[in-house]
Amino acid sequence: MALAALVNDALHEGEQAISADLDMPNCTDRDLVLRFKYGEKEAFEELFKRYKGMIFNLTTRMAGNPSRGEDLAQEVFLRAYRYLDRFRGKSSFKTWLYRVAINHCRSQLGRRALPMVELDDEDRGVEVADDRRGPEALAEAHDLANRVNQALGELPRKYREAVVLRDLQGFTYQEIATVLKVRIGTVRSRIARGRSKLKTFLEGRE
Amino acid sequence: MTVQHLTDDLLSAFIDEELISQERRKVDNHLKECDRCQAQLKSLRRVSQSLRSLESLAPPSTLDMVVQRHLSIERPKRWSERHASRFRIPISTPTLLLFTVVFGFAFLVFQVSQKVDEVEQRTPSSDLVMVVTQRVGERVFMGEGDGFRETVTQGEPVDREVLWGDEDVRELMEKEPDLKKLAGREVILAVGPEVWRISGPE
Repeated sequence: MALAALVNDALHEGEQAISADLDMPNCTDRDLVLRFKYGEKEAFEELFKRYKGMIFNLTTRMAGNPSRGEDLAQEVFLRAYRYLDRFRGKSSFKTWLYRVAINHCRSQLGRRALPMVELDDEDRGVEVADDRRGPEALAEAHDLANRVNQALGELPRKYREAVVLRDLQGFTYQEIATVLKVRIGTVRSRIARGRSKLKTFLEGRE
Repeated sequence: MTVQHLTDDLLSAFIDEELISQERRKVDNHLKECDRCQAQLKSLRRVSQSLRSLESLAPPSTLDMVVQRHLSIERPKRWSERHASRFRIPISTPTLLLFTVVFGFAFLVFQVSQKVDEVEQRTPSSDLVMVVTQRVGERVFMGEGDGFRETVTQGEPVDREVLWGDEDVRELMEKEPDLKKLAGREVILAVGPEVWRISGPE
């Protein structure tokens, strides 16, 4: 009797472990991609949930305004959905998705500098609501954010891509090199040139 | 003595901790002694911090709605569907018909010429002379044993050009007395696997 109970418990634990493995939020990106390729459309929805914020931030910073950024983000996810079976898993899904996004932004936005739209509180999202800074500090931060945003818009595309991926998305140089398909040395010099130009723009506006 | 200052590349990578140890030591040592590079490092760091201080933008709820709606309608394209256009012939139906007719005709002509070649290159039934092809003017006759029949062929493969007086031909005539009847005329002759053209006076 005791033995039977032990066996039952073991079986029950096994089932739980399997169902936890199959649970979408616990899956790795790679597993979700595989599941999608085997016909589970829901796996893509989980990938969308994971990356929608990052991609929206990237496209908005590249486009210079949230409305255009939203359109671009939508298109990026639809492209990813259509072409995910091309993804061979040589790089991470994140890197692949960012490459899709960067390529799409390039084709839609061109090389020119962009007129940056001043972001209002609604655009900045929920974090502003939690801000406990005083009104003066808040206004100052607001002003700086707008100046940085404007300066970002004046950067040539190749520098903007590198700087956004590094300072706003937190990518390593190696990851940026993979996304942009350039050498690490090129990433290093693009980030340096981008920051240097931003410095000039920001100092000019002070 | 001129001082070699640090480049923005080095300073920027130093901020990001992306230098190899040797480069990092070099930058560290230089910064201890150079106020100008320290100031440049400080201003580049300030730029980087300003960027990082930009708040993360919350994706609007409409992004979810639109993408989810599209996903519910669209199914991922399979390889064959995506590449179908590559294999589609970019021509109109009348052109396609014309191509079919031209290629069909060319194929028929090819088939007929193949049959003619088969007659021409027919392997003789003995090692010596079994098939005799005789050209009279522009007409070509082909015969076995007694008679000849006219063929429609033009041109023929010839392995050897020989004369009636040649030793090989004489040897052949002894084994195949009928050949003597053709002596002195231009004759195309299948000899075993070879085709000879015999001409000239006997």
